[in-house]
Amino acid sequence: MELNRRKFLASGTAAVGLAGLSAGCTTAGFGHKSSYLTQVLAPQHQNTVFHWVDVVLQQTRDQRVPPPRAAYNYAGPMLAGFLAANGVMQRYHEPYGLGSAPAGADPEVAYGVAFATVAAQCFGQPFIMERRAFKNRFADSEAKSLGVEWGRKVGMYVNKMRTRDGAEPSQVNYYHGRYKRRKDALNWDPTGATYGDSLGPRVGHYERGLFPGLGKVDPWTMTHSEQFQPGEFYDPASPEFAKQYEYVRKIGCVDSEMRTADEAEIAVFWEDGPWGITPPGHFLYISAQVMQNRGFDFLDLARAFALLGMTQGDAAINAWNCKYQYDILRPETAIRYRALDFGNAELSQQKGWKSYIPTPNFPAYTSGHSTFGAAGAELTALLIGTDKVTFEHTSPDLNGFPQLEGKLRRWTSLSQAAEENGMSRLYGGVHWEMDHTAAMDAGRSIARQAFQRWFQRKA
Amino acid sequence: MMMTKSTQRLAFIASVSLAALAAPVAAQDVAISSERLANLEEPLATEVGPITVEFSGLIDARVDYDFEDGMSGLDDGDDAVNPGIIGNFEFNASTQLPNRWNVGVAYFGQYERDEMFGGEYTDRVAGFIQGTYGTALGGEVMDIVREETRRVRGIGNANLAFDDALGAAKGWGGGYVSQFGPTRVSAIVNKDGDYDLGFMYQRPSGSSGYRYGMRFTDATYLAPDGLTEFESNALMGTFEYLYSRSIYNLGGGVESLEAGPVTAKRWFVSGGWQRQWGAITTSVEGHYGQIEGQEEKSAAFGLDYGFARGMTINLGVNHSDAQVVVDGITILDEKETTATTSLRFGF
Repeated sequence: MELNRRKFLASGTAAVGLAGLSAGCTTAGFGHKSSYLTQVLAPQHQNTVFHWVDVVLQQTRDQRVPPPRAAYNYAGPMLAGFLAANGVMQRYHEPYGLGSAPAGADPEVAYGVAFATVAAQCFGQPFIMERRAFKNRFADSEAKSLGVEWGRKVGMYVNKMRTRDGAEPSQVNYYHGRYKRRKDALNWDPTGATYGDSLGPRVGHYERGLFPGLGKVDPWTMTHSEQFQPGEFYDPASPEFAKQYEYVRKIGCVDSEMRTADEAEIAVFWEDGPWGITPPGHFLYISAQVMQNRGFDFLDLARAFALLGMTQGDAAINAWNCKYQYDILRPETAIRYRALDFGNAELSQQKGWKSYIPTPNFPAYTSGHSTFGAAGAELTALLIGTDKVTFEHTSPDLNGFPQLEGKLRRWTSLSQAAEENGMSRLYGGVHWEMDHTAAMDAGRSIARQAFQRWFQRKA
Repeated sequence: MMMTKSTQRLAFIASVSLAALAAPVAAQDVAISSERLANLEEPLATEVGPITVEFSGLIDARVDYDFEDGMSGLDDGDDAVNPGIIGNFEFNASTQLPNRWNVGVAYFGQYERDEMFGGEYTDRVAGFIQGTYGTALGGEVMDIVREETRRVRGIGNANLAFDDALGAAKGWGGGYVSQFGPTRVSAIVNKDGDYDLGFMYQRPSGSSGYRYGMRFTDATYLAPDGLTEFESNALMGTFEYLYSRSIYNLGGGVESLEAGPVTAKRWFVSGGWQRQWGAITTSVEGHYGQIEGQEEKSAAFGLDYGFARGMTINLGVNHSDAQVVVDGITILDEKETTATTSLRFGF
């Protein structure tokens, strides 16, 4: 058949359109291999809250959202979903004065609509297919219509509340004058693309610091960005710093003789990137895994994930505020270039030193990983009433680190998982010990105050 | 070495940047203070009331070597070695409106100078409105769909010739980009009615990841004679497989060219491999196609070495060979092998 121009034009346009549609314009459903919670959730425990949590976990992966922004994107939708459902069920206090939903509104419909309304703003995508599929699960009724109406109202309220909250300009990798660079030898320097592990993702060369303004985003549960901020980093001339320096130099080096095989696996297991759910998402994943069979009903679960999302958002704010306020260099810079600038005779410079895993493109102190992990684990423990939980899983994201295939890790408590997550950054050679310990304190404090202050049950 | 080619090579910075609106060894011991470079960058963005203002740019000091001129021994007026410099900058301002729409404008300017062609300044301007349903763009944004859907670009100064439809929409127009799950769709149309439609899908799968895309373009192609304008329709597809630090990629397309009674059918395939080796990243690519049975061939090797904040040393060795004449009209006329090395600073 001769293909004239008109036919070519029509068939080409149709081909692109059909291919685009068949490619899949939606997040994967429960049971699909691309669904995260399918990996850890028993089918009988799947519900509306887990459904929407899975949607934003997947969207974070599909858009390659960086960790601190992912935390922000988790917070808003989970808050909105809970507020909408609670507006119907009126079980918990909330500080926004939203009032009651129209009588008879379906709380699950309201949850999904509010969640999607805010998620759409956070991710900049409409979730058209996801919304339609979700609504189609409910038979047409007045309760459904009222739920849609109320959910949309609450979603819009949360969107309006968070408009100009500092998040938009914070997506730019510039300081905006929000923080002053420190002038001494401890100041952070962009780091190179060299790291030692034979398998691992492609990373950028000396990239500009990630989101320097994010620490000034309006907090979710904290009263202000500095609420749980730790004190100054060590004096680099001190024996304490020398001890940390030598520890990371020895254990975090690619050819370390100190790091065990298990510690090497830990370093890679908790990387959670660069094409996945990120560290805050990993702790939501853990929360879903351990909370699924604890007897939470729909609204309690919605509250739990609202608190988890908001505290992950605050963990990002706390860590990023510390990072750019204290402006502390990474081990790679110190060990390769600066050792002799610290006035500390105990330090030995090692010019060819390479970390085991990639060094992230932002300052070290405090550790984002540790803050996210401590906040997530502590809050989950408070919600279920115990830290002693035995659970196991493979890495949620194998991409970038194929050596993780088939590696199952097991923990006997939530705090053990959080500690292991934080220590992974020392084993990998990208953090100081004080980055980890200070961040763990901050993360736990964020979780405790949120649990004590937010969304208390009505008498 | 035509100056317009190096312009094309670096023009991607504008298109990539403008597209982004829709939506960041031992030899390392060289003691260049990257922190000073970082400090230099800090004032380049600020907040003026609710408006975020950014200024960014790139300086590329380069030397091209043309193997044909260098080895022929003939004095055809062209120098085998041609040093030059390209500098460009982008200024953009954006803000979030009370209804949460993000709006902004961007201005991109590029100055290029080499010994053979002297200096030239080009610029582009664009504006955007971004909401939940995607981003609408206006201005000189005709590269948006191409950049969204193309096979991954070569590294450093690699430039694989012919690896696209010959026809391309140009000038002023409007565009749209949006995300739906793992899929991004994009479209542009210019004031002449030329348009591009595209989609791109990417997702990890187990320990690897993949990305594929498709694009259809309806545009025009001006032949090398500068007079004959072909109506072009082209359908192109790409596939990338990502594993650890490597990207393996394939691309291909078919194109129909018409200029009055003259018609030509074209098909092509391209493929390549990129890998990061510590601070060094390399790419190798090849291309083969035919227009009415006449061959077009190209190959490219690229390398970059990142050694400080914003600074890279780049290399590209590029070969292209196609002399295609259909019904007396030259469609392609190019045969050259060049090597380009440059020191680049992006801020």
